[in-house]
Amino acid sequence: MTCAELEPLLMPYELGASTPAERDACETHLAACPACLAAFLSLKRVREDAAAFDERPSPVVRDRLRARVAARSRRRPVLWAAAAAALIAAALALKVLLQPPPPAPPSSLIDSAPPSEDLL
Amino acid sequence: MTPPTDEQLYERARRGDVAAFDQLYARWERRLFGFVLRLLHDRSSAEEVFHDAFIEVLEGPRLSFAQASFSAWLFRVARNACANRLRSNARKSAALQLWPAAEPSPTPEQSLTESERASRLAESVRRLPHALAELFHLRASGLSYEEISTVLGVPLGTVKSRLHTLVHQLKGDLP
Ligand SMILES: [Zn+2]
Repeated sequence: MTCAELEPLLMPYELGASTPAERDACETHLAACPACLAAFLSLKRVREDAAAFDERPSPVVRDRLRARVAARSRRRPVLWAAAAAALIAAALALKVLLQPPPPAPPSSLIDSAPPSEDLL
Repeated sequence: MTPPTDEQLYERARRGDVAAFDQLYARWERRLFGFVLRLLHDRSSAEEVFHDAFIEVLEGPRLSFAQASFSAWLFRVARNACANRLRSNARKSAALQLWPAAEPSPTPEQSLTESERASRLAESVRRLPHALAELFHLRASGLSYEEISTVLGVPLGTVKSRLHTLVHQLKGDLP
């Protein structure tokens, strides 16, 4: 493959959009041809520069997020306690709901009651 | 010792580990913010979306990494927030202005042709339709095609065919 033939394949190769055959052709040629390798590297650098993300959000954004993360470790025991209390309450409510009145036959509610985890 | 994965840092940050959050944040701060800024073209909106995306992944429902990586989720959340914002602001035209004005800053070691190429590429990226520009910036952020497919919510085949369109378009503008 000549340098002129290779040239149009370089951009797809650099963006990872070559077919396997084109990729092989590029790699074989680039390994042997310093001129095309230089062209390829320049293309790569241009694309990287064009895509360089130098901007950062204001440090305030990070500080706010950090504070939220730190609050999670403090809040967690409370959350767990609340969740546990809610589970117990739900289990009690369920038990009451599912308790059949002793003399009566099972109601449709009981027959169709889903596994308790669905309600929790 | 191998550095912790994003997914490990994510789990620790969710449990309130600030040091883990710092690492995760440092890894993705520039790439995610750059991506959002390119899409919204407005710094304060970009900061809000960026902040909210981190809040969503850290405090929302726990992410599942069976199908997608942490970064794919993070970019997906941010990308959808950008799309909502662009829609609700009815400022879709802003999405076409993805590139800051090309700065003619030829350093001594830069050849003229290279800086010409750079500004032509920047210019052609700026002219890309929204879907292709999004793809370019996701790819430039270092995401794999599989991750991009998750972020955009389209099949891998669509990502690849869009990429060919992208390459075709950019190539046509380069010397
Ligand atoms: Zn050559």
